[in-house]
Amino acid sequence: MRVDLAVVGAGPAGLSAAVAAREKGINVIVIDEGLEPGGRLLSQVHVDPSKPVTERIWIGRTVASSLVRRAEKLGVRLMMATTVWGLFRSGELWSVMLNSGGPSEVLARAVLIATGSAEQPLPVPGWTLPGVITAGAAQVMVNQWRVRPGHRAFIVGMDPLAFATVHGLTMAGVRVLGIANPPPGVPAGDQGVPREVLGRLADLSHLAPSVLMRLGGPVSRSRAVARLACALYVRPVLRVWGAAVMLRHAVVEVEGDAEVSHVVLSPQRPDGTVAGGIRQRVPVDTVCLAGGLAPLTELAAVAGCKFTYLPELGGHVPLHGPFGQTTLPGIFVAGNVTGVESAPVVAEQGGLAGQAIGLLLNGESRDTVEAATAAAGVRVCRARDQASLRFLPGVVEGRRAMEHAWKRGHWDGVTAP
Amino acid sequence: MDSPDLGKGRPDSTVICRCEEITLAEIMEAISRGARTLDAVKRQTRAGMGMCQGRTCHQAIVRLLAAAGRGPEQAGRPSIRPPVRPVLLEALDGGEGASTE
Amino acid sequence: MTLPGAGLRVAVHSLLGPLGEARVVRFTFDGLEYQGLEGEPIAAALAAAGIRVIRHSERFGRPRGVFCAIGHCYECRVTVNGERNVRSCLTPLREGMVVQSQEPIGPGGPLEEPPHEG
Repeated sequence: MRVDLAVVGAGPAGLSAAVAAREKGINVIVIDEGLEPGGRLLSQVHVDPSKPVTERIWIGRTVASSLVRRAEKLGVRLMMATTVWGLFRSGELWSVMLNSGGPSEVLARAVLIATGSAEQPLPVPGWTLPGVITAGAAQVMVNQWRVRPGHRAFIVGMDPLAFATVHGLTMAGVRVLGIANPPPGVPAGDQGVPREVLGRLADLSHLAPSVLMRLGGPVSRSRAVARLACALYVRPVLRVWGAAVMLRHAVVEVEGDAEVSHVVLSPQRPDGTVAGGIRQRVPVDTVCLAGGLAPLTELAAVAGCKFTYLPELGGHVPLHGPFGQTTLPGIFVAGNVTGVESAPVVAEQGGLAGQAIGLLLNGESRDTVEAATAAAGVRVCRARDQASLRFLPGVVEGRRAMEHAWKRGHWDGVTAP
Repeated sequence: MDSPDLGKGRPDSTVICRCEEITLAEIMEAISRGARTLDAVKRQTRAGMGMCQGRTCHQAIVRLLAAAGRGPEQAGRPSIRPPVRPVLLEALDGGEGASTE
Repeated sequence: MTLPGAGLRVAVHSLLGPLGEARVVRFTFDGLEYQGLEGEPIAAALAAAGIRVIRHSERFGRPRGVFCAIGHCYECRVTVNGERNVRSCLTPLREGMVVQSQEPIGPGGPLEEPPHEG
């Protein structure tokens, strides 16, 4: 099978790119491992109380359906339940290697890698027991599979995805008893230090239903006040959707025989070290581990793209230019694979890349493409500014650093050598 | 070097690589014997060689290497070779749609 | 329609609305018969049926179940109609599927004794 553009990943970035590219008249296929298109949109439901009532509930599946309808109407081909396992140069084209019941390969003039990000669960003693799942898995189970993972849950880790999971499980009728930190020390690092956590929760305060959390948010931006607040917060007085926010406790072990039966909690000092005091054993049947997200860059690595290390974007990311072009002509990247951001931002990013690829494959010059995608670039920045959820606090600095790294290397990425 | 405190009791027996069931103790031993990159840890312990190819454990191992003085940049990305997902041998053989040389 | 596994299925979600119509199909897991919804991931049907132990680990013979639910971790792998290492979270359920857990390979069970649990 031969196409102009093969998009790997049918999430918001991939679908938006496919639509934009198809609008330029080139033929496009989108390939995804999942059973239906939408990527992580399918499992996300957000409630943002700071927005007006009609915009308060954001359902990812609705966004996905709308993108899929547009794509299908335009004649974008969607190939689901298919795994891409390799990416090789094949003369002037790229060979996208597939694993499914159908064709084993797609030949494409250009490939857009939009494979998103993956969770990085932190190991906890006992974490291999059935009943321990990632925070994202809990969302997939209740919002996509429509099956509860259990009846009594505990969340380990306190980041945006963790709180979204508390909410998601509660909406699905699962009792979430509490949310606490991962075990202190390595490998959790700062993620498990109450003082640091409190600072990061400031980014989330507008999403918390508790008035106290909302008030605590801006106040905790100041280091000194954060320390004081952390020192005073010993017993978990705050509840978020009914779950105890145990800022000064760490889950040190998950117990059970054939499946989860308890979590063991230890009190912590503000710096994360274990404090003296009674350990609690809480009976639960489900434990959700939230450890953050990192770009899923395997295909870009396998193809031979150059990378750069930018923790502000989530770690090792493919070096890329303003249209998503990589150091390999014909390979582009868009979405969370370039740095972890929320769906509205990555959708605009995908749209820009798709538009650029469409123009380039039609033979337009780089100057024309730059001019034509300027408006899309503005939309990306605006979506970034308006994002209610920021996974990575330094993402703007990260994007700037990537621009510099690309310019410094004098990479072109759009013309073959 | 102190064993990282993963929790009470027997932190060392905590599995880090779920696929190959490589424990924290085994990884720390490899590090104490000189392993300083993800690839070196992989070669010595098999951590990261299983079905998920390190997707689940590599972040934890990067952190353990960092605690031993090797930052994420030096610890490196694991060297990745295709297939990035396990494939049946038939798929590697070509088949419908494969280009012929 | 009575959903199979009614205790764990989210029939009506306060934000997402009621479940759409889907055909109930039968399948077996390790020889026992269960019901699920046609086209849903096999792992979803197993979870709804209350089955949490999906396989045992090769090295220490420990129980394992669904972990990431999106095909990255391979913890949910099962044998389906004779084909090994199928990710149950990414494979749609069909009528009559024969699903088997992947026990430790070899007559002796796990490859090694687990490390001493103090």
